[in-house]
Amino acid sequence: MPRIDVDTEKCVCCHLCELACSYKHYHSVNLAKSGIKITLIMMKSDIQVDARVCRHCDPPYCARACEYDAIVVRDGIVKILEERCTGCGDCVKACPYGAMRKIENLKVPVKCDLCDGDPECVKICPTGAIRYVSA
Amino acid sequence: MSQHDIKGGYTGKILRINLSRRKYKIEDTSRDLIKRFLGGRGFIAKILIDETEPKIDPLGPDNKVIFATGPLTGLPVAGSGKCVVGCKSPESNGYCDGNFGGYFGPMLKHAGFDAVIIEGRSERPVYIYIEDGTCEIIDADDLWGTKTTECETILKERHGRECAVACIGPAGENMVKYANIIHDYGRAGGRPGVGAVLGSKKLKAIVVKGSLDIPVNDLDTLISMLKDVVNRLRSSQIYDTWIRQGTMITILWSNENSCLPVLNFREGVFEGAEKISGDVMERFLKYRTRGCYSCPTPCGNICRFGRHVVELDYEQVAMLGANLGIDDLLHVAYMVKLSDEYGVDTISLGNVIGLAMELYEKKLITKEDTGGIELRFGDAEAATRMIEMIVYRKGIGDLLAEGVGKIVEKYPEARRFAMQCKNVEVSAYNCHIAPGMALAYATSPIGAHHKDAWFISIEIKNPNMSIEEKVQKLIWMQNIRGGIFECIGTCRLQWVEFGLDLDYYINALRAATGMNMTMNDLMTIAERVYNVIRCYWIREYGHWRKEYDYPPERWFNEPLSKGPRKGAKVDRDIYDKMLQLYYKYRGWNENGIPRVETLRKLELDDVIENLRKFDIELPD
Repeated sequence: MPRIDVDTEKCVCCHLCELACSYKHYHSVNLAKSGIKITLIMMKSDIQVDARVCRHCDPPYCARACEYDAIVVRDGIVKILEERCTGCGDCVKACPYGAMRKIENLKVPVKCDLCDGDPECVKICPTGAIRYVSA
Repeated sequence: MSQHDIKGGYTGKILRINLSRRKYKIEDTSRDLIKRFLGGRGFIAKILIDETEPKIDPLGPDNKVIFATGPLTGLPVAGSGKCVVGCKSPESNGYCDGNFGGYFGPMLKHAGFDAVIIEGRSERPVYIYIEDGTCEIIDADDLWGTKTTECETILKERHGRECAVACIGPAGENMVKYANIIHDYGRAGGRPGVGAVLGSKKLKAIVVKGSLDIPVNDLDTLISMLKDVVNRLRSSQIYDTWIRQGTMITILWSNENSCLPVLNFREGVFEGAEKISGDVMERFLKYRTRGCYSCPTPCGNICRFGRHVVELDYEQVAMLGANLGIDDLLHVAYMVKLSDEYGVDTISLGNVIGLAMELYEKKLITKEDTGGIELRFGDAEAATRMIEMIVYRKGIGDLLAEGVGKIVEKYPEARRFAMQCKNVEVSAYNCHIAPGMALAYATSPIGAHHKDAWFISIEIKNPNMSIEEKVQKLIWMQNIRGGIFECIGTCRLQWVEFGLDLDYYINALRAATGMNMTMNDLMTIAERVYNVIRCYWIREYGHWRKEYDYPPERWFNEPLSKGPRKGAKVDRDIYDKMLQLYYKYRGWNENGIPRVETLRKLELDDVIENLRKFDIELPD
C-alpha cells in the first residue's frame, strides 16, 4: 500500500510538512489541521522524533470502527467520505497509531490522504526525511 | 482582524495577565501599535515605556514581562519561529529583551494572541496555561525547584505533548541576574535577567496550546514564496556545512581572526581552539540536527555523551570553553547542559566565571572566598562547581550571581578587566581587533550583545573601511537586525548566513498583512524602535552620559600579546570619533540623547511627552 515514510533520524522538527498540509487541505495556517504530526520527545538520555501519519493500512482499523461506512479504501488510499461522515469520532479512537485527529469546529477528522499521490509534505521537507512510498 | 488595511499576520488580540490579582483580560492590538512598531521588540519597548513608571524595581511587582510575536511569526515564512520576550532588566536596570526560536511564538498565535503582558507578582508559585483564547493561572508548588527539562516534561504530560512550554529553572527562581527562560528543551532567551524577573513574580512557566487559524492576507503567495526559498536555500553552497555544524563553524573562524574570547577576553587566539571546534563536535558528539519552526536551514547541533543530550552552539562553547581556557569539548558540553537545565545564560555565565578566575589569578579573591576551590583558568571541574554555587547562590556564588556590575562594585580593581557594557556581560567576540564591533556592543540597546549587529564579519572583510563608512554600515546593520528582524518575528540567519534577500521579507510582510510597507518604511520603524529604547534607558537612569556607551577598558588598554594580530587594541580617539559620528547619524546629541527634532520626525511626540512628564528635557 502507498504511504508516507518519515525517517525520524533525519527529521529536524521544523514543522514545514504540517504547514504545507494545512495549506493544501484547509487553505489555512494551522498546525492542528495537519494529517502529519511531528513531535519532539525528550527521553532520559536521548531526543527522539515521533511522526504520526496515516499508514493506509489494509484493512483499516478506522473503517472497521465506522458505523456509517464513511471510510473507504480507493487505490490503496484510505479516504473519509465527507458526505457520510457524522463526526462521531469513533475512527479517531480506533486508530492504533494516533494518526487521526478530531478538531473543534471541523466535522470530519483530520487525516492524511496522500494528496492523491503527490504529497505536499514530501515536496517541502528541507532534509529529505519524508518519502512517498508508492507501493 | 478587519482593521482597514491590516488584513492578516496579526490575531488582533493581546492577553494581559495580572498575577497579583490572578485575573486576566483580553485587549485589542491597537492599530497605532502595529503601524508604528510592527511587533516583537517594537511592541515590548513601547508597552514598557508607556505602562511602567520610571525607576521601578525590576524584581518588584511593577515590572512587566512581555512576550511578543511579530506579524510573520508562525506563518509559512522561512525561520518564522521567533518570539521576543522583554522587561526591565535586573542586571542593567535598563531595557532588555531576547528572542528565542522553537515554536512558542507560533503556538501563541495559534492560541489567538499577538502578545502576552504579565503584570504583578504572585504570592505562591504558579504557571500560566493559555489555550485558544482563554487563560488559566494554576498553582505550581510541585514544579518549583525543578530543572527545565523535568518541568517541561511534567507540563507536557499534563497538557498534551503538542503544547509549547517556556519555563525558568532554579537560576530564575533564585533570581540570578542573568537567568533566562528555556523553551523546547534548550531554546534559551532573555539573557539580561528575564528569568530572574519571572522568578520574582513566582511564575514558573507558561504553557500554550493553540488550534486556531492564523489570519493571512494572501496565503497562496506566501506558500509559493516559501517553496521557492526552501529550494534556493537547500541548493545553497554552504547548506551542507551549515546543517552539519551550524554556528559552531565560527569557532575556527574567530580563532583565525583573533577575535575568540580567551582567558576573560585577554587574548584572541586559543591553542585549544581545534579541540573545541565544529569539526570535533561533528565527529565525536553530534548525532542529529534540529531546527525551529518553519526553518529550512536548521542549526541545532544535538550532541550526546554518556547519558546526556545537549545542544551546542558557538556562543556557549566559546564562552564556557575558550574564555575559561578549557579545551575539553566534552566538559564544555556538560557545563552547557547544566546551564540549560538550571536556566542560566551561558554567555554571561562564561563571562562571570572568567572574571572570577582572573580575580583569583590576581589574588584579589582567594581560596577562602571560593570555599576552597582553586579557581584557575583551564580547570573545568572548578568552573563546573562554580556554576552550581552561582545558581544556588552558595558562598561567593551569591556575589557572582549578581553579574559583573556588582562584582566590580565589590572589587573596584576589577574595572580594568570586567567585560561588560551597561552591566551586561560581553558575548563571544573579542574586539581588540575590531573597534566597530566594540561600538556595536557598546551601543546595543540591551547592553553588550551581538544580536543587534554582528559587525565584526563586515569589519574583518573590509579592513580599509573609513570610520564614517563603518558607523553608517553599523547603524544600517543594527536597524536591520535589531530593528526589522526583531520586530517581524523571523530568524535573521537565513539573511546573514545564506544571503537571502531582504526583499523576500518585505514581500512576505505584504502578502501576510496586506500592508504596503517599503524598505524605507521598515527602516523608519527600526529607527523609531531604537529611539524609544534609548529614551527608556535615559528615563530609567534619569540622565545620560557618553561613558555609558563605552566598551570595556581592556580593549583600549591591553593589546593582544599573541597571534597574527599581536599588539592590536582599540584606539580611544578613534572610538571617540566613531561614537560621536554614531550619535550624529542617529540624530542624538553629543551625550547620546535623542534630539526633539529626531523624535518628532519619527512621530514619537507621545514619547517626548512621556519623558517631559518625568522631568527629562530633551535637547533641540
